[in-house]
Amino acid sequence: MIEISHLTKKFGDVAAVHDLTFSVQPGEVTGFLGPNGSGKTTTMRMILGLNRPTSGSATVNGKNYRELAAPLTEVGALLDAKALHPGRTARHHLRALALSNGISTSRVDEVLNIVGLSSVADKRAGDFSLGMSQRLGIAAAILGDPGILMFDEPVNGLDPEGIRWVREFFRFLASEGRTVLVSSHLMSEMQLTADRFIIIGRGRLITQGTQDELSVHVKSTVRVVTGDNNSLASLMTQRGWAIEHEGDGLHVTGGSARDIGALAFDHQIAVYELSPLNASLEEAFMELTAGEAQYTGKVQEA
Amino acid sequence: MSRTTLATVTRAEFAKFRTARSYVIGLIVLVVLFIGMGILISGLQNVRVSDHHGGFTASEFDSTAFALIGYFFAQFAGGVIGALFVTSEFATGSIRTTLAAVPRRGLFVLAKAIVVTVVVGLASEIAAFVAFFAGTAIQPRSAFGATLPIASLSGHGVLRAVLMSGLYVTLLTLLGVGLGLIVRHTAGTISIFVGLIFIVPLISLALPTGWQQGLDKVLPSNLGQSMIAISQPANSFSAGPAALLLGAYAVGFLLVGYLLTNRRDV
Repeated sequence: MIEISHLTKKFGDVAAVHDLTFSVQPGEVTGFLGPNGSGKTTTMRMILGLNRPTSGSATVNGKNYRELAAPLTEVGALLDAKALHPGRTARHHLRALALSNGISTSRVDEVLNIVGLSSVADKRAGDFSLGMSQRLGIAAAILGDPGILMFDEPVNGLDPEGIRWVREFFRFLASEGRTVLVSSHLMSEMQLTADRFIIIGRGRLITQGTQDELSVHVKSTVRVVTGDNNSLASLMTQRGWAIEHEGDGLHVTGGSARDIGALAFDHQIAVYELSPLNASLEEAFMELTAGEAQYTGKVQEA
Repeated sequence: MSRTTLATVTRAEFAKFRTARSYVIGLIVLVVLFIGMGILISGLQNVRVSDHHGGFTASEFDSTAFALIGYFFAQFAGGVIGALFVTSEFATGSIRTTLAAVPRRGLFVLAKAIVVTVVVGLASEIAAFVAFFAGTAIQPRSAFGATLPIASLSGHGVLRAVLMSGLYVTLLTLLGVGLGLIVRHTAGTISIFVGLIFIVPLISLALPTGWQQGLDKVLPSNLGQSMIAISQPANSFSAGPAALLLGAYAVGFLLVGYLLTNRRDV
């Protein structure tokens, strides 16, 4: 279990993480979400004792990270896949890590096999693609068979097959009763992997909960095209539904497709098209973190 | 039950030293410079004694110093090895992987220091003996009819000089490790290291005589000369105290490096 309590980290005057409190439970995959620069990596670094909190605390299994007798056997982490000596082979990289924590070096071949890198074990890690580096990073994380695992943006650079593998692997690790924390800036990615979400923006907790709990933030919209849009629009407005005119139809928020269809039938309005729009957790996430993104770009309209 | 101890971390750091080409190349350069320069300078003495205009007396012929001259060049290879062993971790970002595996900074620093001491220590001592035997073997035996005093290990202070030349290079390598922990950048660390050997003595020239003598006495390069000299030069420590003071420098840099590593983010 990971426990974060009133964690704050300031770099100069800027608070990268501000008064953050949450816990990560075993047996499920927890998605750690936020836009770029929202403090996810800084938080993970503080959990690993790499960055010192300005105030507050981060503990793993009730202890400060620096107090762990053999850290790799309790916490496995993938922070930056490219953060290794480029001249060392994958096997030598893992071997040194195993030696440092007194882990049997026979485990090195096991984890290389699990992540599918056995055939390139003796190649220089610096020549690996980002996807291969991610796999090597995951191998390092599971080296000590730890009960807690943390992955920072692990999907970056993976091909579709790799992404599916990683998803299933995280789910498998959680099913074994491990604590799995995975950060991402893509809700669409985490939606398929995580049971629970912690969403931050500008270093502050925005919300947390299960997928169901978060779905209250999801607005479902229905597109409807009829023979008499204006009459139907006024009928729907009376019911308190929100209407937007979009092309030759209406976008309705508040009523279900069934409600809208029944209403149109009651007033003998011909319905040509009636379709629920795919509202997603992604959009809810975008809305929740709107204004929290540190870096935003604008699309110039022609 | 696995545990992170000084023994496990030292084994890991040794494996890291062995499996990265840069350190192994550095070590080869160190040995080649140490032995090669000794042979070159010793061999050149043959040209010198055959040159009638540049003749010298037997008392000017320091057989040990000629054979061991390579220590002065080898110290830079040592400094680079020591610095790189730390700064390359910061440059590649692997320091985070390392410190996540070994969160106790004391173990990390100590293991680095032990590996460098053992590896560079062994290589330097072996190189010193090879340089001594090879150098003295090819030095000229006589000049202008006079027999030249060729050093042998049984001679007064000679064995000490050979051992101390290897020790000097090892201590300078440790100093490089400490400096690397403080500065964290490869180029910056190596610049300061070279400055310490070459630039500070020049600054000393601009100081009042009293200060100059005080500073000269404690400069790393002059401590090295004291350690290796057969007869103690003027205004200097004798070999033993010089070695101790240089050792104190190395330990001091490592200690500051440890304290900073303990406090700073990575």
